[in-house]
Order: sequence, then C-alpha cells, then structure tokens
Amino acid sequence: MGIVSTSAFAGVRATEVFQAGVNVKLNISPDIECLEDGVLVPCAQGIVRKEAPYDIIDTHWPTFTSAQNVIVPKNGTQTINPGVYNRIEVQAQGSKYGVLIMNPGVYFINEYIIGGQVLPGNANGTDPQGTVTLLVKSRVDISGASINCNVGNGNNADTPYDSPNRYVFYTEDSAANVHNASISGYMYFRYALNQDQEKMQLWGAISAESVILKNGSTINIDVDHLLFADFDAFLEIGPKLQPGWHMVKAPAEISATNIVTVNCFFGDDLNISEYGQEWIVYERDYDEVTHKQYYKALTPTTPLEKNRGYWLALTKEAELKVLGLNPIVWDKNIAGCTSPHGCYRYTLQSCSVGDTNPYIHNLVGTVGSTRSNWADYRVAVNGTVMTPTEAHNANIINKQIWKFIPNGSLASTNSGEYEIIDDQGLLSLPNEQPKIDYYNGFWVEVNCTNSIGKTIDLIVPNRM
Amino acid sequence: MMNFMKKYNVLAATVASLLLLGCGGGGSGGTEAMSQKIAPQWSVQIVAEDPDSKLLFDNDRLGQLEVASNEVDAYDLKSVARPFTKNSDGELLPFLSVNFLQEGKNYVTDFHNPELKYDEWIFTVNSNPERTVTLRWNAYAVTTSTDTSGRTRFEQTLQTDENLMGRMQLVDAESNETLVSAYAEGKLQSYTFNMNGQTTRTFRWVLDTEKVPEKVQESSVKASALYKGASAKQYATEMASPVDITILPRPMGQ
Repeated sequence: MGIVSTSAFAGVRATEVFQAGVNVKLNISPDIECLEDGVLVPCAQGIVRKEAPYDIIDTHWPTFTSAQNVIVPKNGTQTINPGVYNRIEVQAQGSKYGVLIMNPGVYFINEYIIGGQVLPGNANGTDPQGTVTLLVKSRVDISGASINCNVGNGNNADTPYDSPNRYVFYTEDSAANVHNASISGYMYFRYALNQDQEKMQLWGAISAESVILKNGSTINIDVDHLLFADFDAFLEIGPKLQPGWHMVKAPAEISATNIVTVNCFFGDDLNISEYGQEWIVYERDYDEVTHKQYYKALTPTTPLEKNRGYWLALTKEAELKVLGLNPIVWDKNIAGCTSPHGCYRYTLQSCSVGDTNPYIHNLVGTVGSTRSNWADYRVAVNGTVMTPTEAHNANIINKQIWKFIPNGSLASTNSGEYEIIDDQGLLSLPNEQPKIDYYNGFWVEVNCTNSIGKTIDLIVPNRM
Repeated sequence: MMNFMKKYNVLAATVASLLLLGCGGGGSGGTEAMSQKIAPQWSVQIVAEDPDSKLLFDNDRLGQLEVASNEVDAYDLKSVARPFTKNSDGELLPFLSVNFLQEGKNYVTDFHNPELKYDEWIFTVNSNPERTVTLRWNAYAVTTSTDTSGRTRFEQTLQTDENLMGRMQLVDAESNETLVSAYAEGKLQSYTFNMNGQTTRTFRWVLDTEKVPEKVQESSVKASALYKGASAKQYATEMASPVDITILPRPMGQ
C-alpha cells in the first residue's frame, strides 16, 4: 500500500485534500506579528488551526532519464501539461523573464529551476480551478521566482493571491534554493529548509523538518492551512480497503481530552447512515472477572481507545483518511525508542489475577507514519525495555504477531489467513519491505504466566 | 476579496531567523548488525498455490539452524486458525495454507538442528476439498547475526545449494510414496495435486543423508490433477462470494 498515492492528488483540489482540522499548539516566535483585518497584532501562541496528520508522500518516482526537458527562455511563454519531466527551467535576466503555464494535474520532475514566473493554467477553460501538483525529486532552485503570483516582489500583504491551493509542491531536495522566491502555494519540503541566508515570500503553507529563513522573510499563512515544522504532522490519506474484514488502528492522537469516536474516524470515509448494514466496527474485549475474551460491536458514538486496534467490516470499497483528527504526538524521549523521529507508547492489557488461561490477545496496531518493522518495536515491562524476543523469553508476550490478510479479493498472498511476523527474521525474505503498514492492526499475544500485575507498554516507532 | 485578510495572518519575521525546530536527533536504532558469521544453516519455503483462484500461501519455513533444537522451541512460530471459515450459507470460504505439525500443534516454521544428517518435517496443506493445489519451494541460505540489542537475527538469502537440495524429497505421508525429489533436471521441482474431497493433505519433507534419485512429476499428470474435482462454476462462486459482516471472526486462541 502506498502511504499516499500520488494519484490521490489527481483531480483533487487542495482545499479538499488539505482540509482544515482541529486545534493544535503551534510554537510561533513572539517576534512574529499577525495581520488581522489589516491590523498588526502579536500572534497568539497556542491555539491555531492545523492540518490533519501527514506522512511521507510515497512518490513511486518514475524514470527520468528519457523524460523531456522544458526550457522557457527569458522572453518566452510556454504551456505544459501534467506528466514526467527530467528538467523544467524558466529563465530570467534583469526585467525579462519567461512564463511557464502549468495546466492542472500531477507533474513528476527531476530538476525544477525557476527564475521567471510560473502560473497555474486553466487547461483550456475546462478546469479553471484545478490544482497543479508538483513532485520534484532531485533539485529545486526557485531563487527569484514568482510562482502563482505577480512578478517583482510577488504580491504584498495588501494584494495577495487567494489561490495558494492551486499550487501544491513537494520536493525531496535536501538543499532547495528558495532565496527571494515569491510563492502562493502549499510547499512541502521532505527535509529541512535551513538556509538562514535565504528570504522567501510565501502565501499558503509550508511544511518541513525544520525551517530557518533570513530576517525579513514573510510567510502569509492561510489560517485554514498552517505551517508545520514537522513533516509528519500534515496530512494522511490512508489505504484503499477492499470489501472484507480488516484489522485497523487509527493513526490519530486519542486521549481523554481528545475523544475520537467511530463516527469521527470512519465517518468521513463511510456513510454513517449505513453503519451496521454496509460496515461495522468491532473491538476485542476481555472480562477481567470471568477471564473471557469476546468481540463487541461499537456504536457510531463509541470512543476509540488509544491502545486498541479494531476489526472493520466493509461490504464496499473504502479509503480511510484521518482528516480533521489530531496527529500522533511523537515522543523522542521514550526510553527504548528506536526511531529518530520519535515513538508512541500505549499499554497492553495484561491477564487479570486468577486467569489460568495461557494467553490473552490484544488487538492493537501501528500508528507509525510509514511501514514499520516489528523488530523495531519495543516492549516496556514495568519500565524495563525489551525487544519482542526478550519479552518472549521472559514469558511476557509472544515475539510473533499476527496480521490478517483479507480474503475478499482472492488476489493477495496468504489471503484469508493470519500472516505471521517475527522480530528475528525467521520468516523474512531477501530485501523484504517492512510488513506492518500504516493503519495496520495486529494481534499481540500476552502470556498470562508472567504478565499479571505488570504494566506492559508497546513502544511503536515512527518512521526510521 | 472581502474579508480576505481575515483568512490570512501575515507573519512578518522580524527576528534574525524563523526557527521551527522539527525532527532530528538520533535514535538508538536497534537492528544494525554487529557481528556476523556464516553457518551451515538453510531454510526451505513451501509455497502452496492455486493460480486459477489467485490463492497463494507462503508464510512458512522449514530448515536447520544452529541455535534450534529438534524439539518445539522458540524458532518454531505458532500458527493460528484463520478467523473466517464459512459464509452465511454455511459454505467454506476459499482457503489455502501450510502448517507444520509438531506434538499435535500447528506451526508456520519448523527449524531443527543441523546435527541431523537425516531429517524430516511433517506438514499439512489445508484447503477446500475440491481445490487443485501446486506445491513449489524456494531454497535459502541462512546467516545469523547479533543486533545492537543482543538479539539473534536471521537473514535468508535465496540460494539453491544443489548438493543439499538434491538430498531432499517430498513424500506423501499417508501412502509413504515419494512424490518428487526437491531438485531434479537442474532445477527445483513442484508437485500438483487435488485435495480429493479432503480439507487436509499431509506430506513429509525428507532430507536424506545422500543424494536421492531424481523424480519429477510429469506435466500430463499435473494437468490431470488440475481439473480433477474442481469446476469453473465453483471457482466463479467463490470469486463472487459477498462479504458477510454478521459473521464475526473466530476469537484468537480458539
């Protein structure tokens, strides 16, 4: 499964993809001022609007070697259509500049060198509001460019462009040059934008691992689409699920003060009026008195729980998203965390006192922002961090987990079966991708022999 | 443009830099190999498939590891029954799996110690009674390493050791008939059979002390097995089988 398929962007307006979410804290320098109704006011730190959680775009980069080059000279104008481009260059010299009109759609570009002006096209009037989505692999140099705005100093605070949603930009260039660029768009830098000699004028939103720009840079933030320091905290479009049963976990922050119900999480993807007929959600429960495990159907208003995965039954195809929910708060200070991008911790249910069953099974899952490897998960037992194998040897949990492969399509390997994943590689294949996908739920078997009365946390890594 | 400025907050950066600290810093990692050694270790993956129905099972492994014992141990991973077996009409859903039998329980891996020059593994193929199944296999060399957390890790590399594979053969556990040798005519072999009205067929994978006589399954035999007991209508039915959200998954461990 692609984390975010690029096709998901095609034909989708940015305002739809990047819906406004709920509130989140944004750490803004107190020296930054905000303009509201034409009046400069200190920006309130704290509550502002945010995007839904975001993840690495799974670009599936095409081969660029035989792709075309487009070079617009300093006095030329050219219109291009979506596709694959090895190099796009718009030249400028003095007051002369080339103009590139990009018709709406998805562009894969190896090198994007813009000195002149770039404007979203209208595709011959058929899609006057469509979004230009660019995915640039290797090199970005937009120094001095005017992108989706006027040439010169771009626009100013009095006359900004009001269509940043028409230009969505993503790059994996770790040294993008943005000096003196004027942009109206949503800019996603896979890596840091740490160039303190550079100044940028931006209307829209920016996301990067970190951002350092020169004094005098202006970022005009659409309050519906804010800026982010962490690329993880942006948007997520989840998997397209086929009809059938699925073990899923919501990759969203859930807490007592941040309640996420079945309707909140699934209701934007599935028709809530069809709940119980066309789709339904079950949880695995455990009676601590009788020591019985059983399934319970949830209602649309049932709050999801942080430490649970769920069975989701679908009679129709659906695409899961977490738009509008708070993103996972990754913590780099969790002892034993194996991801440089932080971890997430939740508590497994232990066997209750008197339970003579050998095991209980926790339906849990990942909340990581990419595929993850079970070997990178950790178990904390009363605070002592262990690998799954160590926890297995200590009779705490089984080192293997079980992930269900739906049998609806009959087209997938191991369909209808639990696929087993271990942390030592007993079932691994050469050059195999990690097997736990975003949104995946799985079973963790807790051993009753040595778990009663212990706090057993699962430490879920973010991307590696 | 009415109230447009309401929509935008202009953040004028008047400090020397706009610093938004994001991700960074180091993690402990945990999977990096610290040491590695080559050992006479190997595995075989049994792949069961029914291409006509696009069913394939490959989540299994047999073999020999230095750290493994010849009893059930930590290198024998438990199998759990599939969560859904029948549709609302009581018909079996399509299924196909392989399990190793040890001490009356099912496992998806069965590793023994390389000290055994003659060795054997019992496994079952589980599927719908009318299904035609092809078994094929992949051979791996296994290396062991220790990661930074002190955990033993196994890396499996696709590699056909002709001498080793030449000592292996597939045997029908019920009739004791040798069905095919694992390796013959310069390649890994396969075996196609019909479930013949059963949901389980039992086989034995044998590692002999010496090279076994080459035995292959003739293609005409494979073809006859392919259509025995199965019909296009049955396959069409299972392909169109609707999802029944009223039938709950089988609880784990039961």
